[in-house]
Amino acid sequence: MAVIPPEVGQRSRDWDDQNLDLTAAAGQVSDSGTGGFTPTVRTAAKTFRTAWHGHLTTLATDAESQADGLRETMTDWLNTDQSADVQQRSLIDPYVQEIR
Amino acid sequence: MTEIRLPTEPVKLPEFDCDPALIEGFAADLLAASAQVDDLGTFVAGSARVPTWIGSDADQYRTGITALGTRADAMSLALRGVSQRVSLHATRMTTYETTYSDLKERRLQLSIAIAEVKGLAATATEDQVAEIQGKCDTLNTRSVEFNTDASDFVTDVSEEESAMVAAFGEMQTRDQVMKRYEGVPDPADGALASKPGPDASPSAVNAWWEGLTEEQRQAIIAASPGSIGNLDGIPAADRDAANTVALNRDLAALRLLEERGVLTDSEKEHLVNAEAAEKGLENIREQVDPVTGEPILAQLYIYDPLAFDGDGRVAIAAGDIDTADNVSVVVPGLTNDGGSIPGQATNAADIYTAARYDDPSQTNATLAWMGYDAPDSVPWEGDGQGGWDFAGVVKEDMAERGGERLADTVDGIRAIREGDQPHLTAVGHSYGSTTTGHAATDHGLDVDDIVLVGSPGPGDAAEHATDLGVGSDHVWVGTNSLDPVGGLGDKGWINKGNIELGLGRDPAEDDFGAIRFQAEATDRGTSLDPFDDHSKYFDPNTESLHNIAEIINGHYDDVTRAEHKYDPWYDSPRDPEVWRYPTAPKTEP
Repeated sequence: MAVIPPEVGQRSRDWDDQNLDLTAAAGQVSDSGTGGFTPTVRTAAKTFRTAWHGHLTTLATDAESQADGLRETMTDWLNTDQSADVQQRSLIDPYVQEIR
Repeated sequence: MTEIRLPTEPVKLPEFDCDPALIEGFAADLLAASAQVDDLGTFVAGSARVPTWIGSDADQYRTGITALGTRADAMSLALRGVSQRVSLHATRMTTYETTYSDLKERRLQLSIAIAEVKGLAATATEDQVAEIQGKCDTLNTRSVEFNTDASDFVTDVSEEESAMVAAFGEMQTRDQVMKRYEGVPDPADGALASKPGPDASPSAVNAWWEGLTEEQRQAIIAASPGSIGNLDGIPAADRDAANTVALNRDLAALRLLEERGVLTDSEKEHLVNAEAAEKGLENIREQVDPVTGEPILAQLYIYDPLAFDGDGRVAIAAGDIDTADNVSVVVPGLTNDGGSIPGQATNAADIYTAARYDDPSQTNATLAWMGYDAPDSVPWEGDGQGGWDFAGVVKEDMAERGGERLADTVDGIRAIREGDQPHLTAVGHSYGSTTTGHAATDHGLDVDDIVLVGSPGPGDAAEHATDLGVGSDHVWVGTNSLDPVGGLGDKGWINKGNIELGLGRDPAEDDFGAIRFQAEATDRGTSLDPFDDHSKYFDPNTESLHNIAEIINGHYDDVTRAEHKYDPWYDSPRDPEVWRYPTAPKTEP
């Protein structure tokens, strides 16, 4: 198994941040008021809003999956013989836990 | 009896109920979300790839994120496109609102006139018929025209509604989005590649921006608001649009983290500054222009909430910097930072209102400029004992650095107003007057007038008003006689007043050579807080605000002059204003 550089750990955190930011964007779209539109347009705006809340939530979930995937890869690596390198382990170890 | 042909009745108008401001808010939310998705695409194309990681796991990871990045890029463009269409819809609905209002008024007038002529026709004698028929024919022509206009209005609105509904429907599903936008380059990318370097002058920046297509400009605002939001030389409306995207994105992201209880200390400061900017904009929009009766336009001119170790750098304008006849830049003083922008924005709106009220024929913009890192300490609490420690706490270094930033901001305004220069005034309050002084003495502040209020001194390099570079007849000083900070500057040739407490000369003193204007408050000295009189210079219906408005409007002869302070060799400094009864000129309707 190839050595995992510490940047992978930081990227897992970055993916977590992407997840949060995209979740916020999804909320922003779904909370956006459609009351300013005329009744004819309002229905279409609501449908669009619902659809895009879904798209953005999916993107957020995909970002979280990337974070989880990297953590899983790091965990696997730490559990192999190659993880015997103490210095390398110490650099990766803090990133295995999800912070937020 | 000859029959009179009565005029056609005006058709009834359909209900038309919309709120363009709310529609614009919907567009803004979509745009902020698109910026967030664009960030994902940028992340995937850049740092997410981890080139130092090799092996099959790494390859598999990169393949997976490439597809995600492609989807993010397409979705960002799609959402941006719909947002821009919604914004156009808001603009058109604003026009239709005006048309509808006009049509309603026309219909009312026509109905009244037709009812009148019908009454006349009912009782007409034969010799009156011709005259009444003439009136009926005229009204008939008007009524037919009205009906045509009403029909056109209904058609136009209906077509616009259909177009908007179609735009929503065409970008609803992921398939629709990918079919239309997969692999389509972002117009922002090419445009940003030609952006001038960090040392470019505001004029060079402005030339670059004006050379872009509207599509490229809108793309940059949406995809990379941080690249131009605080860039001198970019027009204020475009800076505002970019900074609004950044602000909305920040608010959504940080509030979610707050809800989840995972905000870091740095993010807490970030949220405080973002919410302060939001409140500052609200404070301006809540006030109405005294001439038009419409809400005052607010522009987010600088939004850099993490600057200065989290203190934040924010500037908000009341009025349109791009077009105003008169532009003023207000520089605040001690303890102010990005979090205090709501109060500064209110001051800006009050100054704007006073200037418009003073001269409705001129247009104005006032920029609350928290564009520098002001000292955090309050000198009268500086020694921890409630005593004075002005010289110990407050140095001029922050004013020197702030002065450079202020001069850059003014250069930026000059660049965007090339060929249509406004009358520009810098208004420095408290330590902000020292910053303004340094901008003038050290960096050639390119303004027409300088106003110093509540000034502890314009800095060591300004021995005389002429040192500020605009001519002593364009240096104006407002000092409330009971403002202790306004009394700190050096006086006389041996400065008997207060040794080295101030930040240069007292600009209200006769030796300095500026024009002192009346700035007393009718309630001066009534508070238990001795520093209360230091914070009244921008209060509505005060001498100070009235005179500042006159200066901003260039009405120099209407500024009410005050006698200077003086420092007789045989005694301590004197301020004749102490003995004058203050007035309260109106500065608002």
